[in-house]
Amino acid sequence: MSDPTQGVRSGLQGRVNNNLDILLKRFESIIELASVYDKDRIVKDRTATAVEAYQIECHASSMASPHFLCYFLPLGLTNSSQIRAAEDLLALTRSLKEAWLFGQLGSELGVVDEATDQIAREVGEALQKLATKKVGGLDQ
Amino acid sequence: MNSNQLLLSLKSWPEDDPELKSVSSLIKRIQDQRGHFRDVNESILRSEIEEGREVDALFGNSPVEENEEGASNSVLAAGEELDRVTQLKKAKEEMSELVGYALNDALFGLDYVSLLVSLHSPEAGSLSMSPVLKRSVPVGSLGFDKVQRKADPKSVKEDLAISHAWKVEGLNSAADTLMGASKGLGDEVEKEARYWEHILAIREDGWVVTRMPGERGTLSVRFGFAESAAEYKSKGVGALRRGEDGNVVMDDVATTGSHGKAMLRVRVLENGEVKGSSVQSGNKRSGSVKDMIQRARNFIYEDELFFEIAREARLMANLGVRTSEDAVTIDLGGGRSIAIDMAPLDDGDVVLDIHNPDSNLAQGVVMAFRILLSYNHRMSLRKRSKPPPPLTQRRVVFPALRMVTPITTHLLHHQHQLNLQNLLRHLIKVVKSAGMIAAFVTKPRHNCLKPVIKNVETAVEAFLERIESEATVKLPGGWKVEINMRTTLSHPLYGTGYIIGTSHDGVSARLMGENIFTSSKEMEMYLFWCLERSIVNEVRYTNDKWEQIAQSNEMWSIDKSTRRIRISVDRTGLSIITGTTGGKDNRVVWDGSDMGRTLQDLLNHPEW
Repeated sequence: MSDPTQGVRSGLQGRVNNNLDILLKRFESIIELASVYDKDRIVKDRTATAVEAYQIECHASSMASPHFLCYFLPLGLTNSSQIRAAEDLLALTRSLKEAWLFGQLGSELGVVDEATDQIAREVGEALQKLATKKVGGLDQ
Repeated sequence: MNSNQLLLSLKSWPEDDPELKSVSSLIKRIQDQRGHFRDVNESILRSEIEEGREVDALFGNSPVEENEEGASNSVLAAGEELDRVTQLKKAKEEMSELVGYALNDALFGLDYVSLLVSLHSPEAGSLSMSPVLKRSVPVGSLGFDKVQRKADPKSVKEDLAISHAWKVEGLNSAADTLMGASKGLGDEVEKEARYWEHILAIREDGWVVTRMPGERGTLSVRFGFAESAAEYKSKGVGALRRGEDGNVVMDDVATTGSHGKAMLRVRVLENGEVKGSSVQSGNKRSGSVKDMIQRARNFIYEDELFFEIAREARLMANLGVRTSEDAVTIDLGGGRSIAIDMAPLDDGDVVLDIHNPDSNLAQGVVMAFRILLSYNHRMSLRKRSKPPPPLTQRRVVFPALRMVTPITTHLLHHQHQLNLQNLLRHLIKVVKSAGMIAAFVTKPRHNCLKPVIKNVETAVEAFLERIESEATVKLPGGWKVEINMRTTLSHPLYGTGYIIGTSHDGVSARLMGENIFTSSKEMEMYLFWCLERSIVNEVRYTNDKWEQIAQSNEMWSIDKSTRRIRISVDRTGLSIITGTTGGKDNRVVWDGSDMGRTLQDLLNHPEW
């Protein structure tokens, strides 16, 4: 690959996708749990319902809050992905901003404003004239 | 108690503890005893004393008792100390035992649940099973099943209602949580956007925004100068944090020194009296981040400037530069001096008094200092760009910057040059008032003209080194005097030197060519001498009745050799002393004012 940023780009893209996947999966789980019937169209009993209602809250919380870790949810998600997908997206925008900000940094160092030299020349010459102004004259 | 026992304590009597009587401990004890002081007045206290008179009697001996108690307590405490250690050990053991039990129970619970779960999802369950359990029992070997209920229509209906309600409740709470989170994130995004907007604005202003060194995830602005001395290099970074509302909040970096001294101040003193002062302008009050950065930048520059000035000035004590802890004074002679120190920023409305030449001078000196530090920064960059010097064992000491030296050189040279100019002007005036012709021209700092200015460095360098001024004087009698004065504060002059060349016909004086003087006094005397001899020469040329006596400043009349004149020049002017041998001397002085009588008049119509 000739483009050196390819790896970085795909990494960032992967991070976005991953976070989106997590969020969608959580929503999906909530919707799945919303039904009051089981797969055989039989009303779930109150014990199952209680557990499911609690799971709904767990899913919602783990999407929203970084500190709510539901380790016991039978979800097949890894631990690290359970935390703050949304917040991670925000952090991603920030690091993108930083990269953009600092990416341009190098060009500014060591650049001397040419106008300064121009001004210095004018001031210096004016000062030369002023400081070396002749006083008196021999033909007085 | 044994009666033989010596009941005598060898301990010294307890001393008065100043702590016990100090106001702070008294107040604390009073507060402990009777509560706060609110609404206490004299009458309340009086009534309390009246009521508590009997109670007071009970406390008569209390301090002594307290002391004894305290002493016994401390003995006890020492005895208990060992007990405490063993107690602590015991408690610790007990605690770890209990924790062990709890851990064990929890692990058993986990194993149990895992085994149960492994029936339906073996991979999820086996993850959390302990190795011992896995070895002893096959995965998924514990079964569970729902007790089949009879589908009681009534209870199904009830379950349905309950399920509906719980699910709705659960979904609502999930929706609330998510909405709250989304709102929180939205606020966060808004704050973040505002923060970045400000950061960008700071950057647009030309500040360098970097990551905070040693602090991850914090942005900072670098307002220090890359080429500062080592002492100032690490300073000059301010963290830009996000405030509560998303605005940029800068860390409280120093924008002033002690006592709010933020800026270099130069004052011109004359006999201890301030004649002029530079202006310390700065946006003192504004609280915006940009202004704060700017103030911080200004301060760090000024602080470094003063530091370097003081560093250099300490080495210049031999040149009339005095340093104290917080000020540097350059002596200019004649009671005038220049004091440099750090001062607080002026209030916004102070403007430079442009009609006061001394204030202008002070402001100029401040400006020159700033330009010189900037120049030194550039030089340091240039030096760093070159290959480094070879490594040595010796520690490399960086020489002090050259800032005070060039400025002092200029000030001294200017002063001396003005003195010379005034002296020449006066002499010319005197000569003219005596009816002769003389003129002078000075070319101040003519060597500053030579360098061609191309950029900042050459512009500054043109004025850095030795300064030379020239003056050409035409005196009567065909004399021409060339004065070359040069000031340098280094070897070999350490001040101002004069090289005076005279050219004349060599009749009235033999001394010709160049003479070197290192003080203005000597130079003055020599000029007076030149003028005397040139006037003698002038008289010789224009009046053939007078003749010089042995190349001195005296002449006699050819007609009458007892009639003599002596020509002498001093600060007041030209004086001709006339007299005859054995007679009384008479003195005629031209001090520059119009006398209505010339030298020729005097010589042609002698009154003696």
